[in-house]
Amino acid sequence: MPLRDSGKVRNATGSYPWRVDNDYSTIVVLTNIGNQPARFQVELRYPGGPYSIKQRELAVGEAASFDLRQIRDEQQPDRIGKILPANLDRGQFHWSLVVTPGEARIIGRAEVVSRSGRVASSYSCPVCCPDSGPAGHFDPNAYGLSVDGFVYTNAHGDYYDCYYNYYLGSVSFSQIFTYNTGIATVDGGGQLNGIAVGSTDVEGDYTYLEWYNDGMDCYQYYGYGSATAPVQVLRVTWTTPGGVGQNGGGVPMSNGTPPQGSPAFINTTTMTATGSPSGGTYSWSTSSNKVTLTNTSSATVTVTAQTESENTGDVSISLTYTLNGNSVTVPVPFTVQKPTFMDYVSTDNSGAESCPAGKSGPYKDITWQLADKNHNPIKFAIPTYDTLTNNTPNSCSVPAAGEGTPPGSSTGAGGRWGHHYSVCSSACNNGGSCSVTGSQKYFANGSEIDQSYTMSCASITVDGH
Amino acid sequence: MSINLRGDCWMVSRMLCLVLLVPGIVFSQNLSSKLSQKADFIPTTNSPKDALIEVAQHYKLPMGIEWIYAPNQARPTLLIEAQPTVRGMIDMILRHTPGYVFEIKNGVISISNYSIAENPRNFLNLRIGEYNASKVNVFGAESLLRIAIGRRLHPERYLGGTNGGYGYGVPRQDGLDVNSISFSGTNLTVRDVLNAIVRENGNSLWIVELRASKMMKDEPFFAQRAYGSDVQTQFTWQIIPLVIR
Repeated sequence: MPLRDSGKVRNATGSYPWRVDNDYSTIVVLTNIGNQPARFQVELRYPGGPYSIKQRELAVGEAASFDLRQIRDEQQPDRIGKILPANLDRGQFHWSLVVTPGEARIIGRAEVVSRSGRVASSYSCPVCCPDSGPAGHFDPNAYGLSVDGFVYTNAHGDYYDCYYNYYLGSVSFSQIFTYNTGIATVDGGGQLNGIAVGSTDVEGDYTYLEWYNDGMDCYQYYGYGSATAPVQVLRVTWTTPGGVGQNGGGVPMSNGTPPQGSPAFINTTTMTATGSPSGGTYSWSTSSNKVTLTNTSSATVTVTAQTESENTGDVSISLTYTLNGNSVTVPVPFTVQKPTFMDYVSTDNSGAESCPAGKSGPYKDITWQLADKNHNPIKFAIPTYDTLTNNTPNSCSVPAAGEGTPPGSSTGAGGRWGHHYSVCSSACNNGGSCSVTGSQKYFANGSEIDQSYTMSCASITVDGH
Repeated sequence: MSINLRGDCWMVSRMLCLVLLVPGIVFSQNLSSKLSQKADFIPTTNSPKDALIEVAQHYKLPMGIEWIYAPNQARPTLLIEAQPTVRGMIDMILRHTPGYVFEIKNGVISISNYSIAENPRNFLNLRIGEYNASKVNVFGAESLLRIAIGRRLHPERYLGGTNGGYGYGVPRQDGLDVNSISFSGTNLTVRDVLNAIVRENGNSLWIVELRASKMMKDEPFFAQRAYGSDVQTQFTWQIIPLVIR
């Protein structure tokens, strides 16, 4: 326990040497011996420092203890996350009553002990007046965020001791608000929320104390201060053909080279960003090896497929829009789509086919949707052709090679493919019957998709439909 | 193999000509007025073939183009000293590509090269047997043509019947999927059928690029332009929409 009279208010601050080399230990105890709660803050000063402990309030009679070896060895972070170097073994412990108007009183004492050195020292070194401050500042001193996004504000206070040594400490805002809540709002925890595109300012209000002495005693000046920082709310949106899912993009994957008559395979797409307010710059990036990006510093980036996605949206592309030094970044989930399925959409028509003379049979029109392994539609015009191979012999007497679609066509822009199926056989004449089974192979962007079929004089079924 | 190759439809049976000519007269009148109008558009593409396609698309002209495949063909120099008619524009394009002739047949502008137009190794002169299209779209009409060619060349494969079908991208804005094509005939040439398809469809042209220096694999015909392959086994033509709505 400190063995010292509380004395004048000028004793409500102190600077002690501390050491923790060899078996030395240093423990500092601060005690509120006044009749009102009192705030204090601590700064450990050393080459490469300082280490600034967040402000704390002591209730009447409460004591706070600081074990310097424990702080160092446990690598306890200070108010900004800084830790003491593991090999630091000495420095100065500075503390001060701060931002507590009235007659608050805190006293402090440091105990330095070494059993091997037979040392037990006690320090109670008053300086002059307590430290003055804070002068609050937002840190950083400008904020950029997106509409519907959020960022956390941070702030620090500038303090100076009676020798005008300046240092950074904490600042507590009594209130924090934005000038235009239609642009951005801020909550009590300092979280800024983007509401609409535009600019405003965030303000935090605080109280401060300045001390001066007349050579005999310390006197305080109590005031109010405020810190402000500009807030820029940005919006960046993107569009791409062939979206996947609710909010994702997609690019088709190709395999091999196009066959005779086929349009060129498609394995690229573009994404176009629009930033608001305009006039900023764009940056695209990805850490995925499933795609490559080109023109990454322009509004429109080209995405080229490399390897197939395992899961929908497993390629993360990052889009950053920067205006006047403020940036917003949005993730773009992307999927590399290998044509894997022709998913059934609808049966559009069926009936009797117009067969050549001497033949008759049915037809059926089916619409299919080209899809990837997770059944996501591939919304691109993908070069597609198909072949039909009949099992032979068959009772319809049709040859092994059925009629297919030669290379030259593509799916619709949304990836849909209408197919007309028919069978014309002399076996179907006059109410006759026959049946043929086989497999239809689609080749979409070079990837093979197999479907089985059964055709008879009465019906046509492809892939169960 | 015996293949009956003769001239165009004017030389075939009266029945066939009636089938093809009646709608052709109407289309020809409309086509003549389009060709007589003053040109207000200059093609910008890099080859005479593409320039012709541009003109056809701009003025909505049903057209059939038999082109000799010639990579890196120079762009024609279009001398617009006086505002030409559309017909004059086409003439100017062809003036820089010797050997090509331009005529109107049954409502379709036909452009061909006299050096191979009548050649029996030009598959467009192949006479197919029966052709019967009833309310089909362009893709259905093309499928019927492929089957007709196959049945003509390899009848043994089609004795019992056929099955399969054809597909195409949907939905589409080029009108190629409209079931507006109905015509039939016998002893038609492939060229006749392609002309009828684009005329009936009303929003397309056809083009075949022939390589007279190369033959198809297993067929006695000049190869057509090979896209990505040097061995051609299937007959190839393109039907290109004039307007995409």
